[in-house]
Amino acid sequence: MLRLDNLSYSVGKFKAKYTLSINKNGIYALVGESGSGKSTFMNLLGGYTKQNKGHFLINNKLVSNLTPSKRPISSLFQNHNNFDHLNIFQNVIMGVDPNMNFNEENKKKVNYVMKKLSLKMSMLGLVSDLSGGEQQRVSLARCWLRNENLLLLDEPFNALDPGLRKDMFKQLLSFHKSNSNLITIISSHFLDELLDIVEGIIFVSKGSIESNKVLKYKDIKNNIKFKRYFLGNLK
Amino acid sequence: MAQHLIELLGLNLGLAVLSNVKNKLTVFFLKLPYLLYLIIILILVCFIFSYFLKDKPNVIVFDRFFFNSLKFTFIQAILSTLISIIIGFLIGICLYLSRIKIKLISVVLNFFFIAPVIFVSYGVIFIHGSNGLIQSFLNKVGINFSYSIFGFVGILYVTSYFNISLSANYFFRKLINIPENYLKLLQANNVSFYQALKYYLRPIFQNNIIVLCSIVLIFCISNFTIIYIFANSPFLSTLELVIYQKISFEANIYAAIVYGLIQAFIVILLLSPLLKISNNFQMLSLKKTENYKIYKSNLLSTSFLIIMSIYFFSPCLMIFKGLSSFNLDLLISYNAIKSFLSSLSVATISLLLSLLISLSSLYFARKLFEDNSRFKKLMLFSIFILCFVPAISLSSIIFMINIKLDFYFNNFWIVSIINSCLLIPIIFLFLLPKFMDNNIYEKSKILQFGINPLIRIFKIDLIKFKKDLILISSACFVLSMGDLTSVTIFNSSEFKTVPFFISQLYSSYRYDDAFFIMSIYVIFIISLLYIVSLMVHRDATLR
Repeated sequence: MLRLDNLSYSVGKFKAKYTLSINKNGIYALVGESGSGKSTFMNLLGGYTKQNKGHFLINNKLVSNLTPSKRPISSLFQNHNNFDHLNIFQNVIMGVDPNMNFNEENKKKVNYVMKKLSLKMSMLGLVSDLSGGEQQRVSLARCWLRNENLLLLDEPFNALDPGLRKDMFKQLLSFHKSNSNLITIISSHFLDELLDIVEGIIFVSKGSIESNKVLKYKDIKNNIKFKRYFLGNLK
Repeated sequence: MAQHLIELLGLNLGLAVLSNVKNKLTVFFLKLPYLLYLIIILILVCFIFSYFLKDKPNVIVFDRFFFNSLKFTFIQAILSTLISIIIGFLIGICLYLSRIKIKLISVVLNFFFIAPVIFVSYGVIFIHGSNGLIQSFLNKVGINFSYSIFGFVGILYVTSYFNISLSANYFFRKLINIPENYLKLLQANNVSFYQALKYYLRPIFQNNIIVLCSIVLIFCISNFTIIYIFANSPFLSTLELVIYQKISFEANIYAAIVYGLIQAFIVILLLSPLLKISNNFQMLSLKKTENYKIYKSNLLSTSFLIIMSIYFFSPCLMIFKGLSSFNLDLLISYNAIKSFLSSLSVATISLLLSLLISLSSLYFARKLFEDNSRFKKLMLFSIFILCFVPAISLSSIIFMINIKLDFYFNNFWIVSIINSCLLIPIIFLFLLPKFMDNNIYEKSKILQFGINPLIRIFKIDLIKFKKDLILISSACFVLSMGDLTSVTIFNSSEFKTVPFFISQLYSSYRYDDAFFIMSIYVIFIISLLYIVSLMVHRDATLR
């Protein structure tokens, strides 16, 4: 369960205030125009930006006053998710062991998630030698290993081709099957590709969440702001 | 109709040929300064060889004194390099952890790097000399302890001063350029700063560290002014000082040239790692990304930063001493005004010459890279070589040529040319990443729209890095004004620069006067740099 109560942040002229409640685990799409406050929303949840006011809870536990590493959250960004000079093992295991000790226990853990995500190469290979899709799966493997309650995906698959994106969504679904307590919020402009797998849509506009709740596609598709986001200002 | 078509085609063909010739001529004129520079270098090389073949001077040069100076050159250079890199690394980290603004850090570190050597040297003597502030304080409180900054310690102390700021700047820039998402990743996974340095960020520092080490080592080898001021024994003599002694006191030009060539050869050997950057222009880039801070300073890093600030700022105390010894008669004396005007003229001429040649070289280098020419590395080498051919070696060769030409060139022009030779690679290296930025994409656009090379330089390139050009020009102007290398050989009663005038005052035990002129000189330099930075930041078109 995730609850945001007037989580506010302002910088310059931009002001954001988010109120939201998610009671059901699953995948949720975060959509909105560029500059509407999607990244701010993600950064506030991840703890990378400190809120000015308000708080949020995960499973009734106050999280907003914790540092990013103490929050039960995993994040994936559009780029720079892995350290190119480190191998796959190191990039995955850093999620649970920052010293990246190469011991049997850690190897088993990495092997397990790599199998789950169909990563068949050697765990000692460099991440920089992998394709874009494989690199993102390595990052996802790290999130899988952390096994937290909230997964934030900030446009992580946007640079991949449509086929690869579909594969990633499949992997995401299998991740959800393995962790029934997981809520995933995925920010993307490819909403049509997400509609089949998401529980609902969080539509952000001018720094706030539309209706302060998760909406179903059928409820939002006729919303003027939502239409403008998809079709632009052309009449 | 057919005739009309033929006429039209002929006209178009004629216009195309004309435009082609015009383009080729433009390209030739853009390359011309660089080609002239190459010819001069070749003439110098030919002269040296012909001299050795024809005159065959029979003078013993490889004596015990030579080997001793060679040994000392390396000992002091290696030690200074180690000190500079280690302390620079620690300062870079402490600055990164601190809350000080990036811009302020950048300005201060840059100033310490380009500060006139003579200013820092006399500033250090003012604090640590036998009549310095510390010794006076110790005498006052009745502590019977005397120490001397002159000698090996002083050489290391001052040589490291400049190179610590260089390496601190390098490491600091590496740290502030870490992608924000990397930091978020480290933060989310609870990676401590020590762990981050040990496992995650180490390659960021390691990348190009060899290049930094070789640059610092070469700078430490070529520290003539520092040795000239601080060496207090014949055993503390470097190759550069020996060259100077051979020319000035023994009139043994042959030995000076041989030593000069040996030093140039050593430096060129050390220079080879620098060619690596031909594959990685990013290393030279000074781009600063927005800083996302996750690690904070602690007591240890703050204390270290305070100690290092004292080290860096203490020579500036000399300015107050200098101003307290105000001497109007000296300030308006013929010698002072003459030296100031000479310094200004030398700096202006050398800056103009170096700008012309470096811009031409940049254009040529980019063309070679765009055409993926085999000669691209050779071209870079031809410029980099100047950066590290010690001024004193160059001076000894030019001195010899001037003797052969019956002193045809006057000292003013010789010093200006030598200074410009040292500025060319600095401007070149600073602007190279900007010139190469997006060159692959630009090239296709230039070809597509048929943009003339001259238009590309003046309406695309110069506008892109107008701000950088102004900043590097002001830094080079200051560097040229503060140089006390070639002028120690090429001076006369009619021609002396401010640093040389100050060293003369100091040598004749007129310490207060030397400090006074030095203070005025440093205030002038700081004001100049400040005005330029204000100009750059006020002009919206330069942002």
